[in-house]
Amino acid sequence: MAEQVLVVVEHDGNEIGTISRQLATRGREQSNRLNAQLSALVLGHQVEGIVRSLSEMDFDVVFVADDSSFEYYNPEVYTRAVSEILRDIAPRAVLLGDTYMTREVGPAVALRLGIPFLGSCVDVELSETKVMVTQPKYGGVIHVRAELEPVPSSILISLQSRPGLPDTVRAHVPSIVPLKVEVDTPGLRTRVVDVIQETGAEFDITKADIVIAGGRGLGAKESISSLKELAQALGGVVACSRPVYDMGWLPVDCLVGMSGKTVIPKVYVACGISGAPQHVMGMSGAQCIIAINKDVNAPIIGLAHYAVVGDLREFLPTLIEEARRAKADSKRGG
Amino acid sequence: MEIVVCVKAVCMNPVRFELSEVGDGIDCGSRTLVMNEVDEYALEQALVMREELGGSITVISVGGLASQDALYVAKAKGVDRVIRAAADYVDPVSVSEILAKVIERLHFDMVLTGVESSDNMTGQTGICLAEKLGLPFAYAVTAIDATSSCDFLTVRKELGGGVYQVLDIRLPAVLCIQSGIQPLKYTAPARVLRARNEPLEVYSLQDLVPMAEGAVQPIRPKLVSLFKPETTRKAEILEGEPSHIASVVIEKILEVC
Repeated sequence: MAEQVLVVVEHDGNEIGTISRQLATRGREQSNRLNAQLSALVLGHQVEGIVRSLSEMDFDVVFVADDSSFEYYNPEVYTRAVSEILRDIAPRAVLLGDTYMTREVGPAVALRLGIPFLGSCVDVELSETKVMVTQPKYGGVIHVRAELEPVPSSILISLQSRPGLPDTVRAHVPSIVPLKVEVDTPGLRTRVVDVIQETGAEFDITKADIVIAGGRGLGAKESISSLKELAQALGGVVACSRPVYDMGWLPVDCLVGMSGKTVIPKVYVACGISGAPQHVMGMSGAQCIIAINKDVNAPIIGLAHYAVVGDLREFLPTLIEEARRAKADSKRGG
Repeated sequence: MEIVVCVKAVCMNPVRFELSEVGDGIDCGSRTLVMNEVDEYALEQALVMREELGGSITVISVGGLASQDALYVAKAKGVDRVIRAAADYVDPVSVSEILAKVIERLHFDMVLTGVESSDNMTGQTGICLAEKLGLPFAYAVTAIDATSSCDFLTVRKELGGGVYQVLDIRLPAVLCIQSGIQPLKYTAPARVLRARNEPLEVYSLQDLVPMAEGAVQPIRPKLVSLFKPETTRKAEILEGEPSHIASVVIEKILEVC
């Protein structure tokens, strides 16, 4: 078999994950550089629909492991299966999305195969002589470029989401290759009991045009009421980054980012949010981003269209007042 | 329940970023280290479980002398035993190898650690450690039900996008704890100061014999450059009196909506 750059596809049984679509585009760039084929690997049960969607994308080969043991994602089962499959296919490079599944399974698979795993990269460049990646460090304040030279026989690389990447135009008709993978279920030490989708919010933050989000910089729980007042004045909803959720100031339905929701509102006002990669992946597609932060070097400033650099808790009351005035004016204006 | 918690000491206030001389790490220009926040959540979870189920807590950190500061905090929070493995490695495969060598010497039911460190941010050490120990694992754990027995645990963990999974996992196991699992408790500085006088075990690499005898060294990438992230756009910084800035912000919002 020709050399492969392989994309591990994530899906929910119905749809291919956004990150996997991005990897198809990014994978093609890399496979072209290496004169290799671009292949996809999908695990699941009764995944005909997913395979159909994949065959409409720009892959040369789609490997399909369809088995009832893959119906629900089980980290132990997936680690064994993916290790076995990759050992057989022996791709030059494996691209994965930087997701919880990858973070759970990826390091274990790499160790079992005795190959390196470069995790949470924002960029990758594969060549015949070296592997080069860019990774965010220290909350994304700084990026590091790292090289592996010489090129290992194979490598796992996980990539963070990059919104706005166009789908590649299909230039190849993939061959579909079914795989037979045996998983020794009685020996398993991990059993999936349930999968829960958190719901029950009063409002769905993904449907809102205006999202007012707060982060660690809010400083105190009391500031949440200011956020709510601002959201109410503008007809928007409140949301938050991880630390605010962790402190119990807002429920999980308000959480934006890797652990929570992805929002694409018209306006995203980031109040005291530094802009760590896990948060940014949930909001960077917003049409207009306004950041209010005391640190001009915070990564969120590099993402925002407009920035207010200053003390959030001093500024919020003025902003609320102004929002109310504007609302009253618009009412008066008819 | 015998619990091991692995914590990393990380830079509290980075003042500058430079590549270390050998090109395998980043120097943040500060010697003041604190416990990685999400590891602190793992420790709080361990303390709650010890309270409910009895047993003991051992906290381990891999690092230089300065990393002991994180262990003193653990001691001040009331853990039973603290161990530092004196080594400078920063890559997850080497660190997990060293942690495994220490943990293999202990009696334990479970190992807890945070999902990722705030400096390196790749979140691999916990899972690598599970592999080195040959144990089952779960990543991004947000709740643990350990009331049933010492053979199995039920954990709830994140799959991302607001989806959670409930898993039964056989002990011993390695759990990578997500932030927010328990509230972080304040530790009085006076208690930390007192903890500095309490015993702390230090293992050198030579103590962890098989390593010194030449375990296979992982392939480590060489760090070649550091730079501020390239930004896709340059924000217009709004300046002036707060009331003026506020009116501009509202104007910009109304323009789009």
